Amino acid sequence: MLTRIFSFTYHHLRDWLLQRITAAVMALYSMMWLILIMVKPLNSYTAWQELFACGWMKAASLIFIVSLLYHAWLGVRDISMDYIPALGLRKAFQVLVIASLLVYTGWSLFILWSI
Amino acid sequence: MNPPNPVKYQQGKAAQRPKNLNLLTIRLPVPALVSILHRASGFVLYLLIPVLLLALQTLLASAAGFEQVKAVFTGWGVKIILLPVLWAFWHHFCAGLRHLAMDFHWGMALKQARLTSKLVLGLSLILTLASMWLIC
Repeated sequence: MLTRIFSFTYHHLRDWLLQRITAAVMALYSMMWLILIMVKPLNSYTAWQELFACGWMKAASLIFIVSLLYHAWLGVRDISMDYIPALGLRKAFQVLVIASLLVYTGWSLFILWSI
Repeated sequence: MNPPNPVKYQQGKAAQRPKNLNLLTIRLPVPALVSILHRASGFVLYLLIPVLLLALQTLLASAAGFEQVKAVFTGWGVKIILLPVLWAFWHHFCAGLRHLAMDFHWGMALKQARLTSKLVLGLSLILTLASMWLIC
């Protein structure tokens, strides 16, 4: 089972599982924010800066963003497979999506580590 | 009992069946509605990733940037745009949890599937309004 999930020849089950794992990670991160909003006054710049200066916040946010981007890739790829029947057009769209997600990854790293 | 001859069947009853391809008269079952909205909201959320990152970057860059973002979010025009965005998030969130439950074979029967679909539609609306109230 595990070798099937983690081998690159069995994409469907691996993708299916990763879609669920990334979803669970994002749900937990969202819940964390909900609690944060309720217990911590976040209405000033210093409060936000202090929050994102913490190592755990950087780590949690990075894990969230990576999950978000991979989850987005799986979802948008599925959409493209369903609605763009022309192979060339579909592949071009997928390349654009991957490029956008790679840019967002770099951008997120820059945001999180410039504070 | 023999199954009906497919050729004979098609020539007989199937040929007489009314064809309805008018999309305006076809009603989606509730689980199908939740499903297509899950997909649509997911795509919208993908398109909004750069907006989220831009807001976060401006917010964390300087005190002036923070005030700028705050000012944008207090404007009524943005709040009206924010409403469907929050709904997209919460619908995708709730429908996703429903998916996870079904992965564990929970709520698979038609009656339950319809009930949880309605629950997703209702709950995401409530959460949208609640989070809007929290932000304002």
